[in-house]
Amino acid sequence: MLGDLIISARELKKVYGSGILGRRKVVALDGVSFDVFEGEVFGVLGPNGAGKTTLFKILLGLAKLTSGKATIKGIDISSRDARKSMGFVAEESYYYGHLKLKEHMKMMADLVEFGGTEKDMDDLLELVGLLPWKDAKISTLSRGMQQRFGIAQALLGDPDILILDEPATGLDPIGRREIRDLMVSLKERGKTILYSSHQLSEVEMICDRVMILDKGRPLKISSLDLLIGGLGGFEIVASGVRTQDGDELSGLCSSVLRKGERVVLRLDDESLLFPCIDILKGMGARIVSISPVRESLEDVFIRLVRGDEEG
Amino acid sequence: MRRVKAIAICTALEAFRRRTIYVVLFFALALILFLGNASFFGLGVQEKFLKDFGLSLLSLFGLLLALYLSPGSIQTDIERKTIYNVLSKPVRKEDLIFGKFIGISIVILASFAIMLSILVSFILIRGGSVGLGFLTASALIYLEILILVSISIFLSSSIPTVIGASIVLAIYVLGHMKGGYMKELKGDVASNLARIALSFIPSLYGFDMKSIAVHGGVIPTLYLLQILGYWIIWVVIPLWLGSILLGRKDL
Repeated sequence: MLGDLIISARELKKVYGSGILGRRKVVALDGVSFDVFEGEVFGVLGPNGAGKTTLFKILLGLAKLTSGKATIKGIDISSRDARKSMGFVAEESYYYGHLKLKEHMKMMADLVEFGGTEKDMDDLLELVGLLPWKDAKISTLSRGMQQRFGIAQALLGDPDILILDEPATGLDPIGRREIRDLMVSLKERGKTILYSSHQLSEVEMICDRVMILDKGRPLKISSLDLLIGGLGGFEIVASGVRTQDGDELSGLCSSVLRKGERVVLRLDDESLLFPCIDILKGMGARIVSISPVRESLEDVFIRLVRGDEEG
Repeated sequence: MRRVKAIAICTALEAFRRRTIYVVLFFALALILFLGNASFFGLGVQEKFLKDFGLSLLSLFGLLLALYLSPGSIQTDIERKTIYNVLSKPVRKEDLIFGKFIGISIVILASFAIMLSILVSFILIRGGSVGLGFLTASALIYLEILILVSISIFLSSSIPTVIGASIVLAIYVLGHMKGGYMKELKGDVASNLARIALSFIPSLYGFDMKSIAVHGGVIPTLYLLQILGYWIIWVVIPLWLGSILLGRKDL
């Protein structure tokens, strides 16, 4: 069940001028249209240079549209008011390093005209586990801590929408896990999140829908369930299959792979599952596991992007 | 206003926590102390020398601080992408530009206050006197430096730091030479072109009241009002233009 429309983008186009006189044109976005609904986590995926960051910059008012129209909660993005309900975390931490955490929070609170008290700011630091460091200079924090601080300052003023541009880039597995857990808790709190990441397994875990961009154009916009939910057949792992029995199985299976004592059988057609089990039983083989085969987001992503390159 | 104040405080705090500013201040104070203790002149001459050299020192170190703090103020934010954090909030470009200006002005004011209080203390200890003219001349130097800060911030919104700093240095020199040079200009085409070009350079010589201050004179109120009006124009217009340029920029 989709909530209210929060972000609406229609035929977004961004052309940058390069060279001394800006005559050489680089198309960063071309005909990008999408909607984001209340409470959903919308993933923006794409290879480097696909236009993800440009898209976020446009939504945040950091870059201007060449053509097209986008609104945030019905307000045109060219208006300052559109940014009142948004928080942003960039792929790298961009802060005034000489400032203490509490000073930076105070500055950001003033910028969003946050009406809360110092206690409210402390609560946000507590949420991201940085309250003990509130008197430390930002430059003394580790990268993971700085990213968590980014989320705390993005939450000032309790924005409905969060734009997270590769927030876990360059973090170790623990740092990535912390960011992911934070995102899950924000999702549970009903925040609408636009999320970009190259960690597709994390996107798979967190996002409701994704848009795959390549060379500034959208290749696919879909819910994750539809994109990767389709069954790609079954995989059976069995032991005790003799080499001479392989021929009988290969008639049913799309592939028969022998791994030591075990064989891995791949069935593309679901209707062949039980006949195959019967054959294995008849051979006296032991079935170790039967698992459905699904295409991962990574598989879909690579297939779409490669298809676009070849096309 | 809350946003401008927040940016001003952040700019000032950042500047106060940089070591370079204290090195500049240290050298300024060391020179004042050296001059205050030097005794190669008679008492009257030494007082005039101390006032003259002290005000020159204020101007020079003010310029150094302006060059250190302002030409990179916006450009560094763009390069380090700290500007993303600020402008992704509901903040106007003018808020950022004016906030930076006020923050840097506070830092230079604090530095001036320290240098001036040491200078005045030495003049008084040496038996000299400090009148209203001397203090007004010091204030005019401060205002002159703020014009350079404003132009630096304007340049910083669109050109690299080193080039911006070089242009500001040239403006400081030309702005002081402009008065004498304008008198030499005739009515020919070349002179008229030079006159047009010089109109883009602020008349900084108008803020230099050292000779009056050194001799204990008083700067006329009407002149002060005129120069204040001129100062407002030369501070506001570059900042406003800087906001427009920054607004047109893709970050």
